[in-house]
Amino acid sequence: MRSAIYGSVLALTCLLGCERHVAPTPVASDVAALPERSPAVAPDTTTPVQTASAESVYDLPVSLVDRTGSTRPLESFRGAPVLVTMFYGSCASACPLLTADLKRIEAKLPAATRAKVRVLMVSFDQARDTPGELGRMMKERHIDPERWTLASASDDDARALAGVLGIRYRKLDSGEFFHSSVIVLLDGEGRPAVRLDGLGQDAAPVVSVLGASS
Amino acid sequence: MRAMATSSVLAIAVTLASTGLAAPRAPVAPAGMVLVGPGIYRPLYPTAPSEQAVSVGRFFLATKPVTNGEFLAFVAEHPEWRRDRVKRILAEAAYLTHWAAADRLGPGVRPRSPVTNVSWFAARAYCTARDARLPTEREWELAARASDKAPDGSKDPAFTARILAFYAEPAALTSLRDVGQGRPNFYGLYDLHGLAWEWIYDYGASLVASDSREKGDAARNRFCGTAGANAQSPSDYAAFMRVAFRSSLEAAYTTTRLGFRCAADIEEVP
Repeated sequence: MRSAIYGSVLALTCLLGCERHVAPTPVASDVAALPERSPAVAPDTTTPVQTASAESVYDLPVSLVDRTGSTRPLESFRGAPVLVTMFYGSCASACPLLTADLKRIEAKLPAATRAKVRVLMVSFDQARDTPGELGRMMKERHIDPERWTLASASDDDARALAGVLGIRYRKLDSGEFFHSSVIVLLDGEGRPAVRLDGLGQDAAPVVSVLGASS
Repeated sequence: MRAMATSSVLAIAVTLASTGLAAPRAPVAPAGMVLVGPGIYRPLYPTAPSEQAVSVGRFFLATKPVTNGEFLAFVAEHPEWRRDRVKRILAEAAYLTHWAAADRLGPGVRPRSPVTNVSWFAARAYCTARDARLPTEREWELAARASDKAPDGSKDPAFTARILAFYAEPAALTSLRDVGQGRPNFYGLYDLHGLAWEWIYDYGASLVASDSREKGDAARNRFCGTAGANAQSPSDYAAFMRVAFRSSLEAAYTTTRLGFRCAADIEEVP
C-alpha cells in the first residue's frame, strides 16, 4: 500500500507543475518521493542547506517570550550564529533528547567558537510553557542562561517559524504536539546554514561551518 | 434578519450549543463568509486513537477563494507583498509570476479567477489583513465533505467522482475560470473542489504521524509525541490525495493551481 501511496504523490506533484519536479533525485527510500520539495520528511540525513540567496529567517517577524517574561523579537538574535530548534516542554519522550543533542553538538565546538554561538529553543506550547516553566526547565536541565534561550511563541508565530525552519508539527486535542526534531544552524544574518533532521545526527557540518566562519 | 443576532442572542446560542440542548442559532457572518459546523472530522492518519474522530467547532469560511483582483488590491495596500519586494524566505521566485507585472494583472489574467502562485506566508498575510485567518485542516475538510445536498457527501459516489475528476485534470492547460460559477455546497460554499487547491493553516501536519509510524525507530528519533498511530482505511481517495499534496508543501512554495480562502472565528461570548 505504501508504494502505491507515494507513487500517487509523485503523480500528483507532477500534475501540479511538472516544470519544477523534473530533477530526479536518488531515492533512498520510498518516502523520498515527497521530499524533493519537502526536506522535513527526508530520510534521516544531515543536509547542508544551499545558501546562495539572501534568505534570512529574520525577514519573518516572530515574537518570543523568554523565561524572564519579556517579549523579544526573533531578530534580536541577529549578529551571532544560532542553533535553533522547536519543542514543547511537557513532552516526556524525545524532547529532552533535543536538549541533550544540542549540548552534544555544542561540546564538539572549540571553546572560543562555543562562546559565540547562541542556542534557541522555541516552544509551540505558549499556554503551558510559561516564563516560570521555561526557567524551571533551564534549571532542571542545567542550561546556561547566558548563551541559551528557552522561549515560547504564539500559535500563529510558532506555525510561521516552523514554516521557515521546515519543522512540521501537529497539535493534538490532548494538548500534546507531534513534531519533527530538527536543529537548524542560522548564520549571523539568519540564513539557514546547516540543517540536522532527526536526533543524533553527526555534528561535523555544524563544526565545519562555524569553524570556517570564525 | 441576521442583524437581529445581538450579543445576547449569541450568548444564548453559544450556551445552547455547548450544552447540546438545542440547535445553535446562527451568528452574523462577516461579509462573504458563511457559518460551517459543528461536525466531526475523521483524519486519514490519526496520530492517536483519540484522534480517529475529532470534533470541529463552528467557524466562518469564505464562500469563494480569494481572486486575483482581490489579491491585487491587497498587494497595493501592502507593497511588501509585491512580487518584486517580497522577502524570498516568505515566497519563492515563482510567486505571482503569472501576473503581467508586480502591480498589474495584465490581459491574460482574469480578475475574478482564484489567485494562485501564492505562498502560505502570503495567504496568511492576506487573511490577517482582512481580520481573518486560514482555515485549519479539520475545518477545511469538514467544509469540503459537504455535497450540494448534504453536509457529508463522502459516501455519495457522484460527489467523490466529481472531485477525483478534478484531481486528474492536467494543471495549467487552461486558465482558471472565475470563482463562484458552479453550484454551492450544502453550506453555501463554492469551488472547494474543481477549481484550485487551497492552502490550509496547518498544511504540514497530516503526515507527521504516519511517517513516524511507518519508519520505525529511525523516525521515532525525529518525531516527538504520542506514537501509536492508527490509520483509517484510505477509502476516501480524494482526501488522501489532499493529505499527500499538502505534505509535499513548504511554506514558501507556490504552484500554479494552489490558492486559498480565509476563515474566521466565531466570537465567543464569555
